Amino acid sequence: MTRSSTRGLRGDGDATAVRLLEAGRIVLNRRGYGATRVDDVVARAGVSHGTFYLHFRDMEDLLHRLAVDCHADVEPLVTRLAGMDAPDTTTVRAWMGDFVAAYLHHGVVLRAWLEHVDADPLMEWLAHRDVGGLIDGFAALVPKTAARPDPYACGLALFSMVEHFTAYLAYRDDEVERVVVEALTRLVRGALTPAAGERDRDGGTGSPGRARVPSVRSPRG
Amino acid sequence: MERRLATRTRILDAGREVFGELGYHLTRVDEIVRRAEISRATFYLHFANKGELFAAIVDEVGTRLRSVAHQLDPVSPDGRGHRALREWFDRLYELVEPVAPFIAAWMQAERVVQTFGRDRPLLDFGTAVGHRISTGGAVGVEPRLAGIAILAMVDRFAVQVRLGDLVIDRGAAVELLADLTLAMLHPGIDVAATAAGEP
Repeated sequence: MTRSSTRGLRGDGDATAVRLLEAGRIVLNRRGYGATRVDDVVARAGVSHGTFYLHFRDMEDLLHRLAVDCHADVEPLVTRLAGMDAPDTTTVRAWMGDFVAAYLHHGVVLRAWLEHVDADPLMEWLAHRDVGGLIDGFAALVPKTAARPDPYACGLALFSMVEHFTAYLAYRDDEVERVVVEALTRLVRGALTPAAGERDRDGGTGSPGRARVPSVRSPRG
Repeated sequence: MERRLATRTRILDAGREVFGELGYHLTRVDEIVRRAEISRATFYLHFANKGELFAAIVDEVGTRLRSVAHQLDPVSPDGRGHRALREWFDRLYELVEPVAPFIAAWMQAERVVQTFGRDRPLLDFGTAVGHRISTGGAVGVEPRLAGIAILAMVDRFAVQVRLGDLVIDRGAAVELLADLTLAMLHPGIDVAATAAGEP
């Protein structure tokens, strides 16, 4: 999958801004949004403190630029998930591989969206589109049964596993990443498999889930 | 001796709270001391620094996770397995929900310096749960990884419920997570029928 950390900067040829964004992404992924200061980013990028402020207002501004990059990579995953209908293992595995790769790159933004660390309207809109979209995508794929009255809750549970298992383990090396993708593929495939007695009764359709998060429901303002 | 233990527990509790709120790097011993209502001197009687306290909390959480992991009955593809999961998820949810912020701080800290032994508690938990899963019958996924994935699911789900993303009571949450987990481990199982067929 292609990376897009220079998105929005094309044309201005500003290598320093790209370097700061990349340094910010790496440091933020490690330390978390709340614990990262401008000093950490400029130290990593090897530029002066003042240079940072030529390109970004503050850390929040930098996070927003990273969020736009993240959205560019996650939106196609939302679309692909929404387009699935009783996906086979190969389809789930290909999607999972791309999701885990995207997560390793953009984890800090996805966690910021999930945990509502920034109430900015742009962030809320992107969270609604991407996190809300992924949850709805899983919700629509889980076979409906009497024991699962709320598709959105099912979607959230599956997305929770996919996101957090990746966060726990996948950042270390390629081998672990491969193992994580395979385990998640099999678990999700299992959850999406209709019960033997249900297959003929339910074609896998049903009302799509809906987000209940005030901040991911709709953009404000 | 008893008072010494009580003080240590108070520091551990306050530390779990503060680390969970601020993360490892922003947490100061001063804040923990204030929360625990003890003096700095008392803190240093028990722990050399915040790193040592953090490691002690990781140990404590790891011990509790291990203990819950061993309480899972075999997850067979039938009503018995379904009931085993439901009863167990209730305990797991009760344990994980309040410590989820600390687990997040712990995972975040491990991305910077891998000194708190992140792997061992997770792998121990996964191994114990995986053992109970495979005792119930063959599954198409490495049981140890399934165990860790289950913990990850409960952890994130509980955090999002706490943040208000979903309104669901604990009984319904436990029911749903157990139901989905049985389907994940035994694809194609008629969960509704196994649930109905229970004694």
